Amino acid sequence: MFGRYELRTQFIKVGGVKIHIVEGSPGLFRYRRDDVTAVFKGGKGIDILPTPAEGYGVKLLMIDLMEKVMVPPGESFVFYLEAPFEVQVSVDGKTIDRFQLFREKYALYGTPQIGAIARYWKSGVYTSIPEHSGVVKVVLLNKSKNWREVDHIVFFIKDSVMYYTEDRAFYPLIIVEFRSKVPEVNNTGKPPEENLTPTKEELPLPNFLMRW
Amino acid sequence: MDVSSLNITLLSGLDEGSISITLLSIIKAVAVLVLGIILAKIIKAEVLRASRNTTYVWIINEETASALYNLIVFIVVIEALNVVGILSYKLWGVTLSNLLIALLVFYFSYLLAKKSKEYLVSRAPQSKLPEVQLKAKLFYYTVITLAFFISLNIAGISSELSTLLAAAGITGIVLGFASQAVISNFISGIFMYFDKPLQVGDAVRLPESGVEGIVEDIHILSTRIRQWDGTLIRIPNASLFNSSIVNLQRYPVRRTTITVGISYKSDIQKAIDTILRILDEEPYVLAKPEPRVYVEELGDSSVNLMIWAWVPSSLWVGQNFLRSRFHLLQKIKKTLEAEGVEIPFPQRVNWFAEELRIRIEDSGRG
Repeated sequence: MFGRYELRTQFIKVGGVKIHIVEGSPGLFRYRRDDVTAVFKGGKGIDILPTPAEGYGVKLLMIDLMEKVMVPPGESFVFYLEAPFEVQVSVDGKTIDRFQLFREKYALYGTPQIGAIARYWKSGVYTSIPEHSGVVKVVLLNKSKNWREVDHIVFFIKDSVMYYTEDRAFYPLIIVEFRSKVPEVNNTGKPPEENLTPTKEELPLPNFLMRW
Repeated sequence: MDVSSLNITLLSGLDEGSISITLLSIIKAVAVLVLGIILAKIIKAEVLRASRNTTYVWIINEETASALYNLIVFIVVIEALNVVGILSYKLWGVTLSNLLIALLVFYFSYLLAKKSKEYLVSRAPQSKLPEVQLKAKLFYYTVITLAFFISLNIAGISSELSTLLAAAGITGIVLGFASQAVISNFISGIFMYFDKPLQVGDAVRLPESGVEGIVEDIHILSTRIRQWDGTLIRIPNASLFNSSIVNLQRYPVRRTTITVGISYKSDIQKAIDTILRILDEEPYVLAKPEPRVYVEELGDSSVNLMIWAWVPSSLWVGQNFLRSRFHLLQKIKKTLEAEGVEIPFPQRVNWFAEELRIRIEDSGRG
């Protein structure tokens, strides 16, 4: 599903989406997906890679947990969540298409006065990598003196690196750290597992306090 | 003919003084003028050449080249007049030299103020643009006002200034009445700066005037709004300041309200569940805060359901708003009909106290 494809006439299936590449005259290609078409000349190959679910241009991803996670003081807990992502198609770094594979939904993070719009998803809590094609690995650290719980996770995704295998997309490792009542969330930019390929340079995004 | 002996006498209509000009001094003045203009042109060409390679285009550009050219020509003209020896010539009691220097100071103060204003605005981040624009304009007008009074002083008419100010007192009253709209707009512009009811880029609605669109620019006297139909409307700041302003994008989310009527025989709960399902499927209806559907009223012809849905403010304005709302209404109608929920048209049931007798005539039987 993900990776670099040779430029020749072929069908590529990404999730439930069909991409059709047709070679016209030598070196001239036509890309088609539903009603999106593009014609391009040459190129080393066509890259089909996962990209953060920014939708119409949001910076945050909010994942509501179907069951809340509780951690005692001084302990940590590692778990996995399902997450949406988007697919970016490019030739030699030039994007020719970007599309959704999952339901597009948004939510307000914060209050109507000072909140922000976040991409929204609902996920179960898994102790091993779930079957879903989009995965987030979360490390929950409780460095406070009380039990802490989370029922949702919000983190920065805008311009984030993604990691992938042939059939699965991973967000970078997310660390949720409690030092007080308000957890600090960090998109580390680091690979959540071994043997994953990054989509671009591995850079962390700014930490932020998950007040709500 | 001995050129040095050629005298031209100038007589002022206002002053008794006279000036003698020799032909030699005229030739010298022309030479100064020609040399000065050549120098000005060379400098202008050099600045223009530099402007093509520099990254400091805000200062080294065509406008600066022209300003430098004008400055040099102006100085050269003064020097030429000096050579001719007519700078001491008096116009309305003011020597020509003072008058020209005053003009020079005022002109270049104006250029400096204008350049500084443009620089401040060009360097401002988008988020602080309206604030910087207003500060830059205030700075510009302050420099111009100061330059005006300094120029008067240089021209040597500051002693007449008190008389002028006394006259200005009376004139001020007259002008005050005449220009009260301008002053009112100016003051309103300053108040709006502190009140900040809107900013450049905001989508706003003015209910009294029916204006709705994006704020394009906030000037010292007026504000320009680009309406959704693509027209630009200029609103005096005083009118804007005194009117209600609905800022459609001040907050990240807005609640939209849609009313749908269903027939009395339809299942209300089924209709509510169906609408909630549609709202859940709609990307731009936010999952949080959750959308709600209530029975608003038992109307004449229908049970009216009120839909409250929170949407991103940035996507619920102008054409986006019409498109999203139309799409939502279309989907609600289609799905409700598919679910067997009737959306009725207005109807009235009439009851007659007496039994109604209807006679049907068959026109075919003659």
